[in-house]
Amino acid sequence: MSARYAIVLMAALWALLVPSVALGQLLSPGPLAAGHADLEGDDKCGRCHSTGKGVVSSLCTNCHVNIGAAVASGAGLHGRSFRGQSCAKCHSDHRGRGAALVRFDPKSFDHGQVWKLGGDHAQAKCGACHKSRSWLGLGTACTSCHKDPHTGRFGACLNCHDESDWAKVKIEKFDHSLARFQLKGAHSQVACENCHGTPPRWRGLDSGGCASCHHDPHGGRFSKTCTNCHVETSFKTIQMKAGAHPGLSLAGGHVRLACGRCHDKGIYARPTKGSRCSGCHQPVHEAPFGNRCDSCHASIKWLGLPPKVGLAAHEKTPFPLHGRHVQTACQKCHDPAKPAQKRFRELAFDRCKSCHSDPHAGEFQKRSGGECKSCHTDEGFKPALFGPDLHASTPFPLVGHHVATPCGKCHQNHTPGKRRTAWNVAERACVKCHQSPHGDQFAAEVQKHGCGGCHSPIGWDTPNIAHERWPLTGAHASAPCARCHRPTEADRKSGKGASYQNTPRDCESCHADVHRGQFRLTKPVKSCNACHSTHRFVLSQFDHGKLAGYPLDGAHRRLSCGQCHRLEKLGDGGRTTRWRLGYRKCRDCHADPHGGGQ
Amino acid sequence: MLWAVVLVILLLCASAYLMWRGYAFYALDLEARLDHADHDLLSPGKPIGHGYGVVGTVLMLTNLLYLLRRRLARARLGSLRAWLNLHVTTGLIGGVLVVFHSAFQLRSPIATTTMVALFLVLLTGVFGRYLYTLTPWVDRARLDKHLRDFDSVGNGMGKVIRERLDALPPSRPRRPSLLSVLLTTPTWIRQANQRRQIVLETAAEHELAHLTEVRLLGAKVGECAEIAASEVRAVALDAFVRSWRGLHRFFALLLVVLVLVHIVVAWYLGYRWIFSVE
Repeated sequence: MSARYAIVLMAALWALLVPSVALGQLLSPGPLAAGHADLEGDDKCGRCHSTGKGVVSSLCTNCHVNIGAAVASGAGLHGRSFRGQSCAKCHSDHRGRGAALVRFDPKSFDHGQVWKLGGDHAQAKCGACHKSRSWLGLGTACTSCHKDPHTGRFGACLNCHDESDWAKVKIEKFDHSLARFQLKGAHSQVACENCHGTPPRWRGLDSGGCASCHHDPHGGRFSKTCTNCHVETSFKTIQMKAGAHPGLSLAGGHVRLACGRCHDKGIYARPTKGSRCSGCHQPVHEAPFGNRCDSCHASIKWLGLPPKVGLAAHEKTPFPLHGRHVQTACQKCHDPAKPAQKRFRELAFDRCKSCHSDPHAGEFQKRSGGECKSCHTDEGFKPALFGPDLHASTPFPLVGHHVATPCGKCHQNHTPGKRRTAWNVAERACVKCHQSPHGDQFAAEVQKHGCGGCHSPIGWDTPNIAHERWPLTGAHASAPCARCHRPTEADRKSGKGASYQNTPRDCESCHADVHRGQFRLTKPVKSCNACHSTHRFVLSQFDHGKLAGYPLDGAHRRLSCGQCHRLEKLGDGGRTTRWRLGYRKCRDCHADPHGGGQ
Repeated sequence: MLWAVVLVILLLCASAYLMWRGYAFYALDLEARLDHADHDLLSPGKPIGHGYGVVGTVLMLTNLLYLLRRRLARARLGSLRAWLNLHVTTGLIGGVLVVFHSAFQLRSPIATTTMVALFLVLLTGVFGRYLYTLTPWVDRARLDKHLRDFDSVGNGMGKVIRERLDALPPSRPRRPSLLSVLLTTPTWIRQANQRRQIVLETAAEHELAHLTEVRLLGAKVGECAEIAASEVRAVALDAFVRSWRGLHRFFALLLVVLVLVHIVVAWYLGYRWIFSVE
């Protein structure tokens, strides 16, 4: 048999036998159960099988952690009955996808292996407790299956209940301290039926108030909460709680008073002085706060009231709180270190500096008598109200760029060692703040008129100058000064800035010669204004006959300039149009079709 | 023939005993088998079921000794026929044991493939053995004797027949594959008929000239014609057996490979019969 024949046969046989089975399943002895379907594949044998040891239970419990924990701890069915046995002995696999891994007959199962079914449990159906797909996971506590109506407060159910008869309660074992109503004082001596009745009713009793069981001997005149005055050990023992006093709180100093100090006609009778504070106490406030002391001092606390109370009452005082004063802590004004009299009634508040120090050190004493209101509000010290409008009332109104200049540019700290800003600026000349770029060129003018002779705060670069000696016409009128008055090298070295006097007035001093000396270096020499004007460098009109001495007639009139005046390359590499051609005869440009002659 | 009878009886007895021993188990489905008392004995991984597989595998490996015997033809290791009988016996019994090892369940590709390969090995083996019995033994000495008799009586008729038969030898395929053998079969049938006709027609030619003598040799002429034709049949069946043996070897090789894979995997995973670590 040839090798080729063998290969063909083997391939054919293989293709016939395993057409629908992935190669990964080749070595498996059979499909795994549905629960283990994700373990299919020859590369996953080691998930259950150990080398040389077959199926090892420890590998099973790698996934079935709960079972492993139960076996290790000896709990549950597996831990009690199958500890030390191989999982595979009962849970055989590779028997097909539909095979059951758990082969369990509930009818023959001895539940006592796990938990002995007593009472009604012995008659219950399996599914009543085992409601999930797994038989495992249920605990042996009653609450694993039953809802605890006591929400866990009473501990194990069997402490009181019987497995056979749930309603039969072993009440003598009940710990009443676990109930909502704990038995204290005289209650611990009361028989059960006194509260729970006969037959006893354990649930639904109202234990919220004493009146549920006890008669009110006061006929409802006082609070329903008896414990405000009475204690559980004895009804006759009175211990009134703070705040329980009807009509008037006994907090603060009242608690220290004997009942008879107010109840002059017996403890159940109203005091002769009434229940108003003013019945006993004299008013102390100067402000018209009224006689309802309890509206502020409800807690019988005279001093140290919460800020909310103080703020509400401040509206009625001569100094209502606005702005930042609302957030200011009370003690910032009402200094606790001061005596009460000085702290409230005699507190000065008519001037700001009664409380605030003057950060300007009296600099504005002359303005509004030093009162802050003209510049500041109680919304905050900053920003101040003082702006350009108020600046106009000073000897230095703000105009032009000065309006937008930050205050600190002019008002700087002139006092060494102090942070205070000097607002009164004595020297107001321009040079106190600005540096002159002209050196001493205009010393006489500055001496006479100051910088304002030429400049204004509206804009430094728009001086008020007539320029009469060299009138600015055409494009010169709109050119920036510095285009002509550029600082020379000498100006830069001297630091005086550009020269505005003795500035050269010829064109060449500012403009470059684009004609490369054609009209300067060859005769006849022509100045720029012979052809150009200050309005426009490009010629709008050019009289060729008058200016060039060569009138354009006939066909020459229709030619463009560039057809005769060509752009030529110069020796230095530059280029320029040759305007001075140097020839005027026809043959200088045209070929002679007649073979000679002029 | 006796060995075949003994073999069949032996096989039937062994199979009947094994089936009787485990029928109650084998008749159940997979789920029910788990609860059967024999599950821990007859399942493929349990002592007896695993033992079937081990013994069956050993017998089938013993079976391969026949190949060794064929290679060592000159060594005095017993007759080839006896080895062939042993080959057939171990192959059949080993195969039966392997089937019992599988507990009549084919649940995985490799098990199915192995079982199919085993079935094909047994099938090709039995059929090959049958082909082997069909191969005729060509009595050339008898043919030569008859041709000499023809020469002495028929005035050179034997010599003419020999020359004509030599001019039409049986075709031998260039490659001994089953396909080429099947493709050559019509040629062989034609050649067998032609060689038979050569003898008969040559005899008929000489009957006209030497009527009395040739008629006296009539029975020998028919015998010579059959021997001449059987020479072609012998060549054809020999080529057929050779190519069939290749097929048998292929399935045997496939079976051995699959069995080895099965053994290695089972051994690796700890299923080691009585040598398993508990």
